[in-house]
Amino acid sequence: MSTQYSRRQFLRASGGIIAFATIAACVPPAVAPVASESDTVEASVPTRARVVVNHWHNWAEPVDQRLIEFANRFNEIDPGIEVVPLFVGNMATVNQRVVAALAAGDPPQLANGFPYSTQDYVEADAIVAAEEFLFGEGGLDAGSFWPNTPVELTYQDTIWAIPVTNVLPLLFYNRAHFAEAGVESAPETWEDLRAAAAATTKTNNGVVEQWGFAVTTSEPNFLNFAYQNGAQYLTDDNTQIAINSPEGIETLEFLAGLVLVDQSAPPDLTDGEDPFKANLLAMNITTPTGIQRYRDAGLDFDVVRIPYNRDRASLVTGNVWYAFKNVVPESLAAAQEYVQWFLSPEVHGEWIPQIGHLPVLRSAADSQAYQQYLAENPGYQIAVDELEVATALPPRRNAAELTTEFRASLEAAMRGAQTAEEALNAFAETGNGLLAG
Amino acid sequence: MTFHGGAATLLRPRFLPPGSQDAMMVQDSRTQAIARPIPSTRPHWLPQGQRAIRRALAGYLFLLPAFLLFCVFFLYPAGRLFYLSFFDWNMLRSSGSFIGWGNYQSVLANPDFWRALRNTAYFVLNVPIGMALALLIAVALNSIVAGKQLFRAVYFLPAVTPAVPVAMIFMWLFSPDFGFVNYLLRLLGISGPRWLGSPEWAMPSLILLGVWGSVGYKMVIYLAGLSGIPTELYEAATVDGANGWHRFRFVTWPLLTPVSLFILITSTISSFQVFSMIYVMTQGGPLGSTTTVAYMIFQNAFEYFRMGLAAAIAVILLAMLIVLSALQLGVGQKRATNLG
Repeated sequence: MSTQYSRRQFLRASGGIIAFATIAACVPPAVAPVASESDTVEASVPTRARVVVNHWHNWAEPVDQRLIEFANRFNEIDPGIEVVPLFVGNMATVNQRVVAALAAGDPPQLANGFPYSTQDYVEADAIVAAEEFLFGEGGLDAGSFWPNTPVELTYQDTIWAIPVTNVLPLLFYNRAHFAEAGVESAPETWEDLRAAAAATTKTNNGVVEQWGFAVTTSEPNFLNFAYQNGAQYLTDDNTQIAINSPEGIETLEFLAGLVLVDQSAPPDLTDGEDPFKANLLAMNITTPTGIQRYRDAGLDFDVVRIPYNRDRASLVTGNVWYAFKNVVPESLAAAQEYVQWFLSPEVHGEWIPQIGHLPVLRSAADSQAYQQYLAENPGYQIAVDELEVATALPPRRNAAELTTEFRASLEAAMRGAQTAEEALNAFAETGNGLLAG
Repeated sequence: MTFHGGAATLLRPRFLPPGSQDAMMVQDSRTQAIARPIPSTRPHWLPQGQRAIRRALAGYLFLLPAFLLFCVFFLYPAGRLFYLSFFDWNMLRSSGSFIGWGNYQSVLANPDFWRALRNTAYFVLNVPIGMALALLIAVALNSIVAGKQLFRAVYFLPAVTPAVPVAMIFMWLFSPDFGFVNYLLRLLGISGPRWLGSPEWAMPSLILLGVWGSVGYKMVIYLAGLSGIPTELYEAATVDGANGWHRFRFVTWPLLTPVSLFILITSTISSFQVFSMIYVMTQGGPLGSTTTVAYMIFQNAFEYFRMGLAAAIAVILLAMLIVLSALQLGVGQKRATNLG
């Protein structure tokens, strides 16, 4: 049996529903709303308000799970604070979400970020100075870090970002490929590298079956070579591009020569692929995370410092956290407490092996947990030793676009579309405009 | 034979001889049915215009949810996009200052934009290639009896496969030194190109993937169009001595014009918006050879956070698509009129 409604009845019913929905939406809730991401009060601790610290990060599984475990440990120590780590995608995605949240006026308390974003965040008045955050009573002091760790994070003499891991590039080589090609030792200089790459490149009827080396357009990888050749990325006052110096041009000519002249490196092995892991590449440059990754893949490999031309040099970068303004002050204080706990030597010494990077604190490297890790993974010792002498990139404006332009110029030279000099001069012109804002 | 109103009065009359008694009775019955007053709840004291509004109100109420969604998720963002395109707005730094046509001037003076436009137009080549292939498959499937459903499902599978995993798989397939495609070519004695790693071959590789991914969808639309062509036309053409090619050329193809037009317009629009495969597979490289307009919008908006500039590029893209669609529609309708 169906009920018939007239048009008038239908209109009345519709109007009633809309009116009811409108009134219901306007009535204040009878109970307190569930705490939003930046709210601080929760009812589960009746004696003291529980402060929520949201931490957006890019560490995918299994690191994500380890981070949650660390946060839970902290939450047990201080039940008045609830740190909530939230994986929100890769670093670019974290950056996009943070910028959107800042524009909306509702950022998280903490977020992972590119170290090079420091100057842009400072100029946007978006972040709290890490110095105030870290160096308070019972906290750290500037000497706790390796010498150049905070350089990229320092703008106008203030450290703005919180360094949480260090990374620097290392050369990985496949021992079996070296033995097969009759190369007896790891390359130490550029010429050693060139010879080893040529010797380990294998072709069959003109088709490459194994490459000797992989040249990438990764900014830190190229700059590591350039710094070893006496070049600088920017001028001393960080306002002009300086990589188009004769030393910088010579570096690009050397790397492009491996691709275009020696043909011992392909022009297009992107960072996303890992032919070294697939046993199709004799030498590869990557971060210390490769030690664990390649060992798990059962490769017979060794790891050494990057070959040099004039001077020994390493370029350190890493993961940083930013602490954002425009959050409830209590939650910022809670975030500070969490960061100071996270960067205490013992906790940091335990955390770093979870992610395969390098510690930012000397004292953490000396901790019992990290020393045990080093004993089990001796390859890391080379990287830790480099931290004492490693240099860092300077802070820079419009860094994301600067990096894209820089990579494009490296690619143009490595593919023979431009000479090294043309490519770097063109980049300098564009880059100077970006640095000027 | 007597009819007493109802469906019979409407269905039978034209088969009755005019002037017959039955016909007159039917006529009476129809007249009565039309003249019978319709019970109405409409208030007659309202003026006629208001009555019309009240009558239409129910219809508008039914439209309201969809219209609200359209406003919230399309009309307002589109309007806001147009508004933003006149501002120098860096999402991170400031709320932006009004610069008039400044963003448009920057975009049109930027050689990277014109290169991106050329790359986009190049990628649109996947549309005619895909349409030709889809039509071929559809005609073939339309003529077979056994396994039609199976083949249709097989060809349609790429259209329902998520773009990102497909892009990842094609990256491996196209890997220049160690990929399956070049392995097969080597077996044939051919040294394959570097595909996604080559400025010359990267876009053809993406076109190939675009064709593979969209041919199933186009084929299904063509199959629907083919099923609407009356078989009598083919029979008449056969009687007139038309062979298979003639039947396709003079019957199938002209009658599929509206379908082809629909596919052409929708596929061109979606090709102009290509993004995910480029983001995953090439990130606009090598040497910018696969940077399309949509990817350029993404870079400016979500990597450099220059929302005003990105909005201007998006408005230009929208304007181009409107013009292109209008042209395609105009040409298609003219062709359809000529055929008619």
